[in-house]
Amino acid sequence: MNNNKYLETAIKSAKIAGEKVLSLYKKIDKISQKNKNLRDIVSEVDNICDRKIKNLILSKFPNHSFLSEESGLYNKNSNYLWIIDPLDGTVNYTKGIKICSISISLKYKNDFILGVIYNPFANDIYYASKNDGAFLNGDKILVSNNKKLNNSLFIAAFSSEKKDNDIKEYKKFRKINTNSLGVLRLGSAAYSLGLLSEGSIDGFWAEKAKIWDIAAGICIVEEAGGTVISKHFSKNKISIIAGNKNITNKLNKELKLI
Amino acid sequence: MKKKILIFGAGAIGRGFIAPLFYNKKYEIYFADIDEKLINSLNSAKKYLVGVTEKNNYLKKEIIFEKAFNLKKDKINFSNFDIAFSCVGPSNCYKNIDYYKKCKILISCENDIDTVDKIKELTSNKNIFFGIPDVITSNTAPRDFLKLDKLSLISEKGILVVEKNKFNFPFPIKAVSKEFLLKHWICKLYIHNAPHAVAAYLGNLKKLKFIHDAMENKKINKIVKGCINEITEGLIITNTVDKSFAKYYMNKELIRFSNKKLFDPISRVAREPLRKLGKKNRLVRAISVGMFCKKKPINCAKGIMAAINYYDINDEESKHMRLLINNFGKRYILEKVCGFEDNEPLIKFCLNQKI
Repeated sequence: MNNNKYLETAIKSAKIAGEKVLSLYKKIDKISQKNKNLRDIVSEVDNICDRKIKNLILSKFPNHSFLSEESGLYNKNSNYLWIIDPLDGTVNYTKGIKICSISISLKYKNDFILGVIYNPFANDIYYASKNDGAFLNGDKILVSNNKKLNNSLFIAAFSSEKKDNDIKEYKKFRKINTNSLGVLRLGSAAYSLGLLSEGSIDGFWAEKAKIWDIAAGICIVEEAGGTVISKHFSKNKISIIAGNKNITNKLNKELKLI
Repeated sequence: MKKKILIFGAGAIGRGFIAPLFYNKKYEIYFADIDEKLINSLNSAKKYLVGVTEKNNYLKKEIIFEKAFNLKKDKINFSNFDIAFSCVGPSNCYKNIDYYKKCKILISCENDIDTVDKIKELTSNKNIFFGIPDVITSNTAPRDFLKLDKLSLISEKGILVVEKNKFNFPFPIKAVSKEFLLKHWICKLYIHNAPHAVAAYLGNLKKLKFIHDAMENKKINKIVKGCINEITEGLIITNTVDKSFAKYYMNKELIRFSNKKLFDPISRVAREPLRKLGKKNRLVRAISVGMFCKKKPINCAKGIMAAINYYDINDEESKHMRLLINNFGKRYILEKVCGFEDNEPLIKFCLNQKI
């Protein structure tokens, strides 16, 4: 485990945030709209978890930079950048649906070298560090080896941005949904990438997703033997397709996303 | 014409046990491995020494073989071999699927009966059978052996039990019916694998090197004996195995663990603790059958806790386990790895054991 000290801290942070997510479940009413987008909401839990994670990580690595969905960029001009989503799936969480996750990743220069995704309700932790493999609760995991789209199951993550041309996105969704075992939309991109890494689903795509939703998942999927192709739109906005090499290429051919 | 035997994995079982079974019996022996250093050493020597334990001594056997193949580099025509044995470890055997597809007959000696169905499914090769090496071999040897030959290993005489198939196995290999093989496997899984692992995990906690060292420690000896008794009694009470066979197996194992001539390394027996703590694996199966015996299976529970406390810097799984314990606690391993339900009394029962 090459990045052991970082991994240890990331797992510890995820665990601490997870405890908050559990203890405040159904106890928080205060949610607010972050911007014009209906689905872009923030709960008090997001902010509490964000503080917990940030405090722990920066107490261990004070010279690292830190980017979080809730608190933005804390720039120390370091080669190391922690990218955090303290609660991915806030809408689910506030509605009492237990599909959400804490997503923590570490980027070194241009590489995602570590990823941790923790679903506190299932008490499942996915983690990976570069060149060391991907794990779920300590068990090594691999992406599925399914080669055909028509017997594959997918998850798609829609951008929370309100767009006039989203009809194209729905068309793509419909096309894959009709020609496969189906396309799910879970409401937590990070957790979806965890499921992809353990081979429960066969492919995933997200159009103009936020980097903190998928950064940890990219490292985990790749370490689980998967392929991730991506296209950046702005600093923190990215489209990705992920799965095993075959599925990723076939999906991209159909979706023409990247 | 001599029959050709291919052994995947030139480690303790493959080199120390399977090869000697076919030696001097009109067979050509070949190895296939990925350890380049080992392959080179084997190919320059073309022979090695096996010390077979006897009562107070070793019977020295010099094994001469044809070749050791490098699976990463050599082109091998797998269909040229009359039979092949997989002895690479249950975690590694699926990496060899492309080779196993082409084997005429493959015997999985992987200490896990599930490997047979999985390999069959992945290869579409119907000629995959299970083999139980009822033996302890060591991938190292005492100094005087190593002085003679760096490649030497130590093995018990042992027996190989395989499911009957079209290959005509030489004596002393036992080709048996599926039913008898299953009975043997149940005893191996419960009465050998679990207490053997328990001895290793407890020995590791005392920083001992070999299983026989662990068995010499009075406290460990008591726990291992207690554990094997709990398991055997459970198997008898549930009519899983008949009493005489279970008792024979239990006594055989106790003598085996204490064999000072075996040099059975604790690090080898204890490796991959997360796999061994898995809900379908030896330690959890042991305590589940131990629940049927008259007394509470405290020794099986102590074994589980010893495994949870296992740490070896060279063992990746033990490092992962430590990482999870440091952050989530030992209960997490019992729930997520052993598969005990949340708040199941077994969790408290295990956590309360002092080791």
